[in-house]
Amino acid sequence: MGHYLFKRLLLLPLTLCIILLLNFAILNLAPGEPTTQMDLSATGEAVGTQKSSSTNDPYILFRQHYGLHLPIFINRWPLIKKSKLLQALSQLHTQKKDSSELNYSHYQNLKRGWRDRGKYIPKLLFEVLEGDLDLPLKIEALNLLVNSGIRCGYQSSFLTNKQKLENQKISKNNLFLSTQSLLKTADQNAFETNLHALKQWAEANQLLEPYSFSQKIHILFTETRFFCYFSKVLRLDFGTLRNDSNKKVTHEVFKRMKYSIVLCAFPLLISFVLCQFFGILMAYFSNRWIDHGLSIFFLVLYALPIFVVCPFLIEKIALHHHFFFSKIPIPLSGFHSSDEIYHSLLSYQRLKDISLHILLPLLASLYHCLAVQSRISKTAFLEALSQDYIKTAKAKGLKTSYILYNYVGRNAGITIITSLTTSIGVLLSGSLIIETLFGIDGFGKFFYSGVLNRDYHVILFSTLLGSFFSVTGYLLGDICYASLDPRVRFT
Amino acid sequence: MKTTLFYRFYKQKLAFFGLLIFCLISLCGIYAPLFTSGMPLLIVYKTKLYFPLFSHLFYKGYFSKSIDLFFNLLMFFLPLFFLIQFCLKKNLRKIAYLTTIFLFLFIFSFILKGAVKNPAHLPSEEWYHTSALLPNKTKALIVGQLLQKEKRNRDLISLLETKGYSYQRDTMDPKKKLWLQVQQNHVSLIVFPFIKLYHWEENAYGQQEINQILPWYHTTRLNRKDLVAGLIFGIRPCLMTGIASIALALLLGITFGTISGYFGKNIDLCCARFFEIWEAAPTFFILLLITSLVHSKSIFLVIFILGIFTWTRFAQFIRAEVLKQKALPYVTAAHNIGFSHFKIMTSEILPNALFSIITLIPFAMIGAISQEAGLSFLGLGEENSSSWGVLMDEARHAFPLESYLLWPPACLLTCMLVSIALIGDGIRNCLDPKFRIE
Repeated sequence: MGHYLFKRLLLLPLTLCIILLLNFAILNLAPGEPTTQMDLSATGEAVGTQKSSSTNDPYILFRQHYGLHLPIFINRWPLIKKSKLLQALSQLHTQKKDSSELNYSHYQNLKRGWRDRGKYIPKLLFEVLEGDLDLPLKIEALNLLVNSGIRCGYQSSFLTNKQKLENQKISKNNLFLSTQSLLKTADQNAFETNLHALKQWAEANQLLEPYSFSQKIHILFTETRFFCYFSKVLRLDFGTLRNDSNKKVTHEVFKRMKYSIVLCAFPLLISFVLCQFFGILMAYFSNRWIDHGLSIFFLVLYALPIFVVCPFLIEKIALHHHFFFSKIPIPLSGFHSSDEIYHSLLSYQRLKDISLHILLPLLASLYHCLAVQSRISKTAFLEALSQDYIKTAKAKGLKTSYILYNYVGRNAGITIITSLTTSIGVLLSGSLIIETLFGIDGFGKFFYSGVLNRDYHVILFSTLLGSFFSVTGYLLGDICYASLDPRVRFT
Repeated sequence: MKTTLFYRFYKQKLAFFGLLIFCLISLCGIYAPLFTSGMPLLIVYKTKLYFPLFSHLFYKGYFSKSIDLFFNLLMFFLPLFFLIQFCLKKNLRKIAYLTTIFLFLFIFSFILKGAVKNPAHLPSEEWYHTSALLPNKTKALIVGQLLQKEKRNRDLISLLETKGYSYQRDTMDPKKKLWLQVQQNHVSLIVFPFIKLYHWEENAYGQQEINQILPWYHTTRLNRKDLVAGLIFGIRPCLMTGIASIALALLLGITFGTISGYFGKNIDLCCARFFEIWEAAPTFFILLLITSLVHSKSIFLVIFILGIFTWTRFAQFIRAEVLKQKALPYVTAAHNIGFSHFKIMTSEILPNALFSIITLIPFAMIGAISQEAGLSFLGLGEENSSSWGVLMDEARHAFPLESYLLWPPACLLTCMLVSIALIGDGIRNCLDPKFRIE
């Protein structure tokens, strides 16, 4: 068994890696502009706005932060051929592709793409600029060179001296370059002067030396989005939030995790205890009224979708009503009362406050799990009760409670525990709707708003965490299965 | 005593009841235009029969969603399928099914391209001045439509008067009204749709104030379209998702499961790991991700994604079954005779393995329908569709004033899911050899 366990544990990080890769591929290969930001309105729906895609600084910074200015998997940009460059220049100038008009977004994409590529081909650009071409195309090439030279400096509250020096150099360069760009209607003289100045600048900054072979190999693999992201992941640095670059993703997620864990773990434990009770009841009195009644009850509970139950609970039970036999109004939202009240309470009062607030959300996440587990436990107990050794034990004269506890319980427990552990992953994703409707600031809601904001770091880390819990659930289930049932041997 | 499968199913009252409810709801959904639509079914104008609704059934301008057109065509093909099943001999059945399916797809592709033109084409705005020039058919269609509008206005006004609320909804040009009164004399018989007189996509001009007074079956949605019409037409996306996504998942799952189970050792190892990895990917998260990234939201995308993420369950199940079957001697015998791998898989192993997957299908359908409704609820499904999730989403926005709009779709969805669950339970009990029929 230890050997099997070892193989499964080895497989765990491999599975997570592949899931991360899959998500990374989906995020990057999917169409759609990354700067589209959708907000989460108060009722939890998606309302979209589009940020302007221009050359303003926040936009460039955003692209650099996510590495969107680099290609996805491999970087073959130093090897761009001259013919391709000429073709691109003519497309940019005439805004036509194969004699059909480029629409605005395609044109912007083309401009952006070549601006990113321009950084790697300065020598080729200068060759083109000094060669035989029409003036408009040469002006286009000059603008490309200038725009691709503009960089963003380091932006943070704490800069090292080295970073400060770099920033000074970059800002000097940017200042120089921004004076060198030309209008499309410039004439030959202006072009000549600017070209001369740029050539001097390039020679001063050693831009015209060709890339050595080792440099090319280095660029091929390391200047890509893939390498950027995964090198950080291996150091367990999952990035920062999109809107606020001081907050780390891991910190934010774990801050909210405690609410979601409470909403997931308690239903699991409660339904584990209750489902056995109901299961034995339904199996022992099978085909009588209790069995039929409970079956139908659990069937209806199983079929009720969660976004029907939550508004029902909020509107019919919580709104304007009080708890049984008391004057306490049922709280409508939140995990606990507002911060001022909460922090002024003693610890047992805090416990009471929390338990009042999460009673309804717990109910909402409990009912489905309970229904599923009860049905499964009924089947398990029924199967165990129909075995021959139960008949023998009864014939021998053993007490019913002794039989139920020792013979039936242990044999049926295997199925129940494995089904329970495999439902951990499902619970986590189900908590999304509960948190949104009950106003609890939990992991599901955070992930949902991350998806709407297209916050790549949040999405990748959250899916990783979600799949980690699912995979761990399956692993736990297998371990329980193997350890509880002595007949099971993993070869 | 009969021991056929259907008899065992029929004997369980609850499961049979579930099957009845499911059949009733799906027939309601497939024949929905007969129950609620904006045109009368039959009108006898100048002693000639005209069918306004049927002329508009395949017209893209009236039913703008392609799901509606699909189900409208299915309205006519369903009796054909029943005829084939029960009247033809067994040899002819396969060919007959194939030909009807091809015919269906052929006609559907024409309809989708917009082959059907507007049946009631009006030359200009003030057409009733020169109405004598219009052909009789167009006049009949228009008269039918206007008479229906009149009738529903009259019904609404009389209903509101009994509640003590006077309501004016007179939007017709007086000249048009005069023309209508003249034409009404030519009409001898008119048959309206059975339940409601509104088309689900058209504006019913409801208001919040009258919505508070009226009973729920006369109210309108948040976007002022009729509620009951939306409910009935909402059965269509529900059915479509349930069947299409599970069909896709079955196709993928059975293929991969059989291949993995049949060719053991290395291929099995890789495939089993692949299933685990694909299964461990959290479906709901990736579902949210893809639907929010791809900007065109449509129901076919939802069906595709749901199918893509539920096939692993079937694949693992089939793989276990095929592994069990492979150990039996008849497979070795088939191999010795010289059957190819494909033939052994399809004609020897699959019929035995598929038998036990029938129990999984209803529960997978419940999951698919729930997830589709959930996605529409969050706003990620098709926009302006009649799916129940969209209706519940609108009701949630209207909380708490018009939140009674939440309960009808919720109840109907629950009924549908409960009936499918009952059917699933019944099938599971049928196929269980230890289950005794009392």
